[in-house]
Amino acid sequence: MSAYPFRNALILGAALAALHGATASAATPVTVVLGYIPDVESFGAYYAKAKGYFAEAGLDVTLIPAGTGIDQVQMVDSGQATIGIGGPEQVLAAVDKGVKLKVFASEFQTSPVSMTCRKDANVAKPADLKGKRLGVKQNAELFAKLFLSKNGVSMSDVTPTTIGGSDISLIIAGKIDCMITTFAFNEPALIEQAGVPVNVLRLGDYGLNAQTDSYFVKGDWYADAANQATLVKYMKAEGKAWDEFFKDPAGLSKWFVDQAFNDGLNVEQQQFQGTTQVKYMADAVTADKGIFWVNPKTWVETAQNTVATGAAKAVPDLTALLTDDIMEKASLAKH
Amino acid sequence: MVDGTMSGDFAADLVGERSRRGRAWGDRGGRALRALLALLPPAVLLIGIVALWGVLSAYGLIPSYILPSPAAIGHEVETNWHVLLKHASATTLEAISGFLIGNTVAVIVAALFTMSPALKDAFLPYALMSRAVPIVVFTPLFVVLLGRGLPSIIAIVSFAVYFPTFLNMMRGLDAVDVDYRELLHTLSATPLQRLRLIEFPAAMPYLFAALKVSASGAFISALVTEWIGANTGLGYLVVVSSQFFKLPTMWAAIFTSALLTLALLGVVTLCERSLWRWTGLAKEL
Repeated sequence: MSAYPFRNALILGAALAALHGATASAATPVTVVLGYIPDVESFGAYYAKAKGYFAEAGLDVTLIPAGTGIDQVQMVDSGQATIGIGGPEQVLAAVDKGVKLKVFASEFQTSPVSMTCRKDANVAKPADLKGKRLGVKQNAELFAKLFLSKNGVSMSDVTPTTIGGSDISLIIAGKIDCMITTFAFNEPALIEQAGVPVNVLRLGDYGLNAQTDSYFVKGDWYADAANQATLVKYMKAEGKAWDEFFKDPAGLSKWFVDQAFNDGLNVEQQQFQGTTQVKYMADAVTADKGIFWVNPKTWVETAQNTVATGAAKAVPDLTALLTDDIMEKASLAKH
Repeated sequence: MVDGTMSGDFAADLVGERSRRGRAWGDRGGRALRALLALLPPAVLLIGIVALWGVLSAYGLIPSYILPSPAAIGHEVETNWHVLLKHASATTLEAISGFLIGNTVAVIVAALFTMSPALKDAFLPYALMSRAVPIVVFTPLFVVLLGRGLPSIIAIVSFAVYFPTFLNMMRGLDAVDVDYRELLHTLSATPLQRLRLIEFPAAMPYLFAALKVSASGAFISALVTEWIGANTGLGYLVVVSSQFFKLPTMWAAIFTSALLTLALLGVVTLCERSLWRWTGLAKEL
């Protein structure tokens, strides 16, 4: 028995505390500002955090949900977040203003942004919109005009009505025939739950494709090789979560709702979203290269559309903006 | 009296005292009854409105995708009261903190401006100009400076409630009776003494009038700011549940916030009544 048991216990305790501190401080902090409020669109990040995939990769990840008023570009550029997840139009508009960003992953290969029409309005293609009543969301006017003009329809051919950001009551009530923009797996499901069958026209099929929910970091930050290694670890961990999601989207969508990351979720809608969104996350490119692949062809189309709406003055140098290095090294599952 | 009998005067006093106490109790009971009767008409009206709403919903005259039935909202409150409580607690903390901070700063600044006319002349125009700028313009600035969450929301609520109280306090501190001012002037009172003895008491009715306005403003500001800068709170719950078309949740959150606003207004009114000696003076308020 030691002559100084209390002193030895203190020394041991201090050593253990120092060891714990050293271990804890070895985890690389990463702050991610998500593309939307917590729902299955951000499943991968929440699941990876809950299951410890980020911790296993040596990452200490903080997730900041998005919402109205959140500017992911601003948060990344000001250093409040490491990784931003946002729309490519937003990224391109910022790059046009001189912000240096690097896009390294993209969740959606086909844009889920769509126009939703009542089935009884008989709108199966944009040309059918002539003479119809079109609800246009407050922040979607430029998008709506571009969509119409690219498809041979002008605003004067329709009866436009400005609608609120999450207002589906007008289309349910039959006051409008179609509304733009909607998310292919959100509003349509909710409108059908209210008893109104709908047609969904994906804007990506009509010249407005975009890799929605693209992951980006500050250009200067990306230049450091150690930071690139961090991004590879991050995407491997999140990719593991998404691989599981692809195998059971309905079940894991329910898991997500049950975790109460967000109190306002509708479980039926989330399951519908989950089973539908995997179709937008995968295509021929991801079947070959792996999910979250950055597709330069889609970005060219998006950049040209961004110039057409006036949000950017010119198409930027996409080779400087985009990189597939991270996804090449992360080598995510092929779906 | 030593012989155990009461003198006539003493007996008369005792009866008089008992009679006065009886009248006092009677008065209190009467006031309580009058208060209850005053609540009856609005209570009956509310019950009538809810009943009519229920009937119209049952017959489909009010579509559920616009306004759910009272039963649906009641069911939501019953099953998800813990969710409502969680978000209500967050909003209440934001609103009360902002209410206290904003009004305290307003009172202090109004007092400083009253004590120093030079300060008032220099800063008052900018204080007035700041009110012309909509609060939503400042919200992203506060969020960038203070980060999302509690600090920025409390700052915005404080800013929103500050101005009515500041203006009313300025008016109230000026509303002192001229005779009192002259009296204290002849007694060589210091500015602080004037503030304590006559100006603050004179400003009480104006302060409480402003506090009632800022009581509702505090909750409204907290709700609106949560749309932009938070991931919790009744405002956030309203936005999220509307985006996923969970209308009973949305309306339950709206009614909860209305009740909380009324509760804060009630607290302010009670405080006002407890200080009626000063607050009762300005009949025009």
